[in-house]
Amino acid sequence: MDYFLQQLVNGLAVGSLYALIALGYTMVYGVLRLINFAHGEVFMVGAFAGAYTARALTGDKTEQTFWQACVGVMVAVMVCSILGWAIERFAYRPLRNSSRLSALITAIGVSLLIQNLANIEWQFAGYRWFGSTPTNYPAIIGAGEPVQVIHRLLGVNVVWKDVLLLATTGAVLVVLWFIVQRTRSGKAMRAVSQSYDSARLMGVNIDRIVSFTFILGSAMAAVGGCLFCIKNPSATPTMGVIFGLKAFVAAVIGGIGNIPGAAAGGLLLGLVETFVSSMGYSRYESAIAFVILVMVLLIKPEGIFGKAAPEKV
Amino acid sequence: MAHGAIFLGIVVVIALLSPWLDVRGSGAWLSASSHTLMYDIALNVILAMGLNLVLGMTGQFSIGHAGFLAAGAYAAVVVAGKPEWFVPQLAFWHGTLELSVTAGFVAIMLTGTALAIAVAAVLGLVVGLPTLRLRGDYLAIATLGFGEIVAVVIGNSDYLDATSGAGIYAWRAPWLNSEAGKASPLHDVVQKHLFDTPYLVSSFWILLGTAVTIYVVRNIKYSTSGRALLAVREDVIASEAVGVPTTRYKVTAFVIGAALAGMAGGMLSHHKQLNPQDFTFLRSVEILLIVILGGQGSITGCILAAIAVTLVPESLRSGLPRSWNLDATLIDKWRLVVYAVLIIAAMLFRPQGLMGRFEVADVWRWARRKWGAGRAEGKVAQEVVTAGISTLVAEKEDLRAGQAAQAGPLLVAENVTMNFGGLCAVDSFGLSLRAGELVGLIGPNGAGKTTVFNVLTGVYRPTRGDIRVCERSIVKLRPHAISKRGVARTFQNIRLFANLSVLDNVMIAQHAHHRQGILAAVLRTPGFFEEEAESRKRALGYMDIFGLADKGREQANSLSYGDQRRLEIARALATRPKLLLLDEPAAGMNPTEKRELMDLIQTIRSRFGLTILIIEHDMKVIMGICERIIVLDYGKTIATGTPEEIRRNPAVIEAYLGASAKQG
Repeated sequence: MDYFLQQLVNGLAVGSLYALIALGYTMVYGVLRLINFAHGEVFMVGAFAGAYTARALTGDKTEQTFWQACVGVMVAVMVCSILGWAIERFAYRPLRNSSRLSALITAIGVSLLIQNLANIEWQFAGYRWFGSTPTNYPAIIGAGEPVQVIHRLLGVNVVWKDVLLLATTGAVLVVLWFIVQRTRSGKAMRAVSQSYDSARLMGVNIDRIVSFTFILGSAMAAVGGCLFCIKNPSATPTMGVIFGLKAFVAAVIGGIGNIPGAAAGGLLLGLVETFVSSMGYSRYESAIAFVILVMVLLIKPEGIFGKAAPEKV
Repeated sequence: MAHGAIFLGIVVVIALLSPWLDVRGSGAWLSASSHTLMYDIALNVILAMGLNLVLGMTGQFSIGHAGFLAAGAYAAVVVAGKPEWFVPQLAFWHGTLELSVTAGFVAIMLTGTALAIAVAAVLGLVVGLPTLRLRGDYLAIATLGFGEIVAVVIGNSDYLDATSGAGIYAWRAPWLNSEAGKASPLHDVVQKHLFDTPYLVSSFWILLGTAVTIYVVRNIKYSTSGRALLAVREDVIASEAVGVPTTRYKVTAFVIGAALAGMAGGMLSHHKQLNPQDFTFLRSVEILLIVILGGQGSITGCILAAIAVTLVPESLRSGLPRSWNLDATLIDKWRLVVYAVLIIAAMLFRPQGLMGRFEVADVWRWARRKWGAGRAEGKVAQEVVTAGISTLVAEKEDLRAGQAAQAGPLLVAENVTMNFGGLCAVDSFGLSLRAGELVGLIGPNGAGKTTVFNVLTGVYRPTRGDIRVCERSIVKLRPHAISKRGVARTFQNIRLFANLSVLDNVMIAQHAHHRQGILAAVLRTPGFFEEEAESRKRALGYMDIFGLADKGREQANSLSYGDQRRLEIARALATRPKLLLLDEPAAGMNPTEKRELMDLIQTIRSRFGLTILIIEHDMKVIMGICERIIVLDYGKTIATGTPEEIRRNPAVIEAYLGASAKQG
């Protein structure tokens, strides 16, 4: 029973990270009908930004305080928002009227570019930046301790890390819900994803809303990157590839373009992965996501929450 | 014909030269590294050709191609690399059948490659069949996932000796040096062959494989199947409407692409030791880069790009000055950055790549036409046109006879209802068309007229109701099958194959009547040439009726608006329909053009024995040619009758002009 609860908490923790990144994919797909392959790389940059902020604040130590980590997250959010905005502005916007194929190919190109630029070790101002050797993300002091309350009540060993992960993700999702449902920009975003041309005709500034969507998604990816590093302390340039891919699969499972679907898909994927892995198939963990993907595409391609929409001729 | 002969000649010459190109003996012309480079180029060409078929010609975004390469390579290794399979095979070919050692090795390699092709093709079917009927993005996702699954399975599988890397030469040392190995009667044979003449086995076959691949893809491109693939790329809905079974073509192209990648994999396994790192997503991206840089749909472009993409990193690696002190891994990392930049730059500034859809031959022809003696080439010989028309005239008699024999109604629609979610677009629509009738369908905007057409042609499946053509229900059929049953249509917003020539547009429409399939196209049988010539004649005949005969080589989207509309009707006619559905054919025309159109419609009706259902807003056109008119409003039929009756019908007047007009 303990083991089960432990795995449940693990699954939810991983799943909530998937959800954070999946939301970025799904929102961009909703407004532009584009799969932003570079989103995983934004996640990666967020993790590195958090690590480098910690490096600057703690002077290259292996531990940091909770408040230092918060500063790290804020810096990461700023950096990634700019990055996300830049990607959209310079790589995707010129192709908005081209074929979908061109945009998809460009997205892959951007993803590769960022990944491989990060793979090179840069020397600047006396510090090393990026490179293929893993960069250490300092652990938050006290995060490894089990939560005493839960330990006493349920007898399960839940560490503060997991609580932090779940709480932060929950908070971000609440903020996102508020933005999407209760603000003008959020409403405009929903309008654009339902009907691009009608929204344009109603006076919605498409460029602004698209930038807004990218910034929102990138900010969430930045938070996700830092949270990921709390659980897995080393950041590598290729961490965004597989993780981003799986988060994307989660978005498809929930219904690409559908916001609650992405969150649900992420949690589901996290749980399934953790449970299958705990049953002894951890070597094939990466393949699980794609097997689920194939099954979803075969049975209900529009995803769990998606609606099959016939194309108007 | 001449091209094929020249091509085979080149293949034979290359094949005969290949022993000279081999290494590890004296008399070699190339160093070992150039040799390896040549093979790498050849394999990249094969892979790019396969992906070009899927991505360049059919427009399907597949980014897991390395997965098929891996599947083929490891399948071949299992057959030809593992001692427990290899030794018995060699014993059979050499020992039992007494083939020479070299021939025995060749046989082993061929069985390995054959299995590689089979495995890759089956995987292509498994991946392609469920996903190709979905939207384009889903194929990208699915192939990405497929590539990853294959990479993970290979990386983690003990059986495939992932960590040590499997390959035909990798296992030899342990086996040769073991007790079992030394005692085996094949020991000396294997020892001699593997160390003395290894490349003799593979070089000829790799080059042959490359040549065959280019030949096959080229033959597919210049055939009905190739045109159909290009049509699928241009416009899936229009392709279905002219009888092209789009999903079947997408899957076929995908499977062929996968099989070619499998073949490359099989050959790779004999050429190099396999390393799971070679089959990651980056490999797929490299192949994608080649297709993009070369030009999606261009064979020569892809070959040039494959040569460039393989050679440039190598020459940079060896060519950069030593004093820069760059180590190999750093160069590799920058290579990938350069790939990425090239992909982005290509998409932003030159998405058609080096050569677009064109080949060197096309460029040559264009140059000749522009500056040389071939100025008259654009005009098609009059004899061909006349021959085309006479074919059509001869068929007219059969059509008339067929029409007379048609007893019951041609088309019956009963209670057809179409709901989109909560919106009822068409409500209990009923229609009965006798052969030879000319009926009009009118109504205010949004009444559901085009939706009726879409339901009749299978683009939508009706929520309720039945539709029968010649007594057989068509409700469950895909649009291309309905087109085969004799229902053709034009579109409200012209849906031509914009980037294809006028002639191609009309020739594609005859697809359903072609009997020669992709195999005949590849083998270039005499039947194939006959059918092509026949098809061309007919197409010219149709084009001549609409005054487009001398515009054959022009691109469809460069025609004037009126010509484009006429081309669409010509294309619909080329499917040899019994029933023709015209959706606002007079839109955007001036009065003269409209009069000509009315005459044209009457002419083709009598000439081809057609039944016509026409949607129009221009009352002069409708009242002028229709025998019967049906009026829709908000999805419901509010009136039917002769033009006179409709003109005076109060419900119709109210629908168009409002209730107050009734009193006025």
